[in-house]
Amino acid sequence: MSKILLFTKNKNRATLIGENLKNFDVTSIEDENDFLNFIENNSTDLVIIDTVNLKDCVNFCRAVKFSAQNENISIIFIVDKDVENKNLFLKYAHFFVTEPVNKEILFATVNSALNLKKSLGDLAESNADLSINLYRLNVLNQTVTELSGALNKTDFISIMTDGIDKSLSYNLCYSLTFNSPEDITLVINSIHAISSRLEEAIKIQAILNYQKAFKIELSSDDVKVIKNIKHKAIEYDLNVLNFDTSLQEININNKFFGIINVFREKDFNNDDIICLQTLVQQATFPLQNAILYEELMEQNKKLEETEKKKSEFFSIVSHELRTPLTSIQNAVKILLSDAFAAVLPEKAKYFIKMVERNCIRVMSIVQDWLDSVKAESGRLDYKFEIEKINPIVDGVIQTLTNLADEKQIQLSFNPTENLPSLYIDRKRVEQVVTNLVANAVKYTPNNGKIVVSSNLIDSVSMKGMNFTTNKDVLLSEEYVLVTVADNGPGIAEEDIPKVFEKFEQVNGTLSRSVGGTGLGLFIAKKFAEVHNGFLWLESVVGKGSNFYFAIPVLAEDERYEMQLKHDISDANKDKKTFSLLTFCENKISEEPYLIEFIKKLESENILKKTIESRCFYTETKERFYYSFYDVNMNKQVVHFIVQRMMEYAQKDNVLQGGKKIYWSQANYPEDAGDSEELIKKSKKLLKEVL
Amino acid sequence: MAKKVLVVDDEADIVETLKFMIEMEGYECHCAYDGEQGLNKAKEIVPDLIILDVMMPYVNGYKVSRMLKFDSRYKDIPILMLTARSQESDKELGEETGANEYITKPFDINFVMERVKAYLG
Repeated sequence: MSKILLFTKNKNRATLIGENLKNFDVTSIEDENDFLNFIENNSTDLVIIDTVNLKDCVNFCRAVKFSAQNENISIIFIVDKDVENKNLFLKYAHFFVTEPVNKEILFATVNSALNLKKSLGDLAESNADLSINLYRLNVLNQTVTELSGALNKTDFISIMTDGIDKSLSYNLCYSLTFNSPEDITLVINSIHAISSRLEEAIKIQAILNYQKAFKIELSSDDVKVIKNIKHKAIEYDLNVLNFDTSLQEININNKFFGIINVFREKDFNNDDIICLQTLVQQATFPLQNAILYEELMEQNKKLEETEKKKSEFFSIVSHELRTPLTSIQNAVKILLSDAFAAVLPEKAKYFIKMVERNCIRVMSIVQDWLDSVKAESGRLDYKFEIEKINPIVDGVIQTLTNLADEKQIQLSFNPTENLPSLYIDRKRVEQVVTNLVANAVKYTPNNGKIVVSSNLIDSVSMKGMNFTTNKDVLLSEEYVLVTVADNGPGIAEEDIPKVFEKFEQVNGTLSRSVGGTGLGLFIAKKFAEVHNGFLWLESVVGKGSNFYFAIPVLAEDERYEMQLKHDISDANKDKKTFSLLTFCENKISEEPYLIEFIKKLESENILKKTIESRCFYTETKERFYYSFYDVNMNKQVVHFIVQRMMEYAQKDNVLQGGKKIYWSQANYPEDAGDSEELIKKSKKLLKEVL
Repeated sequence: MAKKVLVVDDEADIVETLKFMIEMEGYECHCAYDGEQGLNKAKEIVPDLIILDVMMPYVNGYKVSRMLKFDSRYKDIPILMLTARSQESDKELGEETGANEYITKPFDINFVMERVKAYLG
């Protein structure tokens, strides 16, 4: 029976309404405070308030409305026929009835109010269902998103059980999973702690379920148990096993098996089961990925280890070889010195020279090994400087003339004069040219001819050449091209790509023409790449081969960027941070004082060692001077150094006549991930300072 | 008349050391530095023993050996094969091509000389 609470100070009306609404449980109260107390402490479906002759009507109505709202109670007011502001009543009541009260109207109003309340109640209930479903959908969505990001099986299981917990609020949930019988994990997630016999029971149940599902024999000794307990204060015992339960299986390509069992005190309904199934199903696909990923990682790790061991082996062997080789070389030098000149017969000297020659050969092979291992792992150090190419090539040819002479090969150099300077590591470029020429000497038969030349070519001509299969490669404006042309046997087209591979000697192992490690051209190509250059060849069988080595002619800023790229990669390798200090002067005068100033600071040891200056960078209107260091230094230390620089500048009267030096600091890796970004960041910071 | 030995190897230093030792023993030593040259010299001088390297430019040692062993005029010349490769399959290949002995590099020159003396008496 619906409960109605009536407020009226009119006793007649109370009796009248009581008679009118006989089918309801009507309580009548006269006092305002009693009335409010009653609402708060008793459940009521409907409130009728007689506002006729009620003093302070508005405040009372507001108080009732406030209490009634909390309880979701319908309110009906009885108001005077000619009351001025009916709207005011509407604000606090759902319905109102005017004087004189007609009993039919009152009855109808009470009924509609109660119906409204019921409908509202239904609506709220279905709303709650809807919101639960929405929440689950959300959980599912979130779980799937998290799962797709998880690549580790353990993470995956925990994300899934988390999702199940959120959407089903289980008391206990366990999962038993494995991909090999030696690696079985039982994860128990529980709201409360679990007793040891419960744990044992779960273990046995899990294994039994498992064996039933997959027909795989398991022993309970092999199972590793992980427990996640939310609240440790209370302990579950065997009674948990009487809770409602739902069991799901996971089987991925017969590679990964698992079961999930969820226990809940409140019985599962259909929606719950569907939700659980969906969660488990959604987990299958990413789990498949996770398994593949794990396999891949495993393999990768093995590969890396092998590669590392190989590298280590090579460097150890190389170093171990160099020590005794050095002793041999020195002993030989002594034997060939004046001290023994008179004692040793010519024939003996001849053989000692043979020893010396072969020692040098082994040394160079060992060097090649070391270089190739280092080049592959990116551990070679480079020292870039501004150099001319012709003297380098000339030097190489001088050294190799003897070798060519032995085979009566005519070796010549046609240099182009006045080639632009290059920003290169002299030693490495020398090695590239040496390898190319030595290679030509090796393969060219006796009485052959090798012509080395140097030229300047622009990017348009470069595009016409066959140096790369990648047509989108970014080219510099100009290149210096070193060509080594021989009239040897040539290389068949299908063999050309093999030439630059490691340990590759085209045309076979048995009719091998020449000695060597098969590393020379491989190393040469790596070195060319370090210079942003290219190494390639053209060949006609029976006529000869042309090897080309192109080195970009870099503008100042390009040089700078290349240097920075190398320095960053060094910092990265050594896991060091790296800062880029950028300086600029406020006046672009005829005599740039910044350059002089920094040079002076270097000579006075103020910048030495801590900051190593590298080169200049000119933009249309700004002149930047970049300096950087590659040690872990915090901002305060840098600030201190710059402070000292400025003090020095003042003392030295460098900064007179409004001259100023500005600077900024950008850090790798926190400010930028690569050289380009670092430069951008540095410039941006500098502009802010300006 | 002194017995003749032909040494064929593209590695000049190896040829020179063998030549020195062979001449020390009182034999006559001829040298060739690739397979083709070796083959020509063998036919020209008809040596009493050939020391033949496997890995050589253009015509490798196996080819030289096979060509000599299939020619009735030269098939009785003993051949000592030198190679840096020690795989079994190479050894088999060497035997198939008719070499009398197979010596892997690096070799002990005294051992080679013992073998030379054994063949030449």
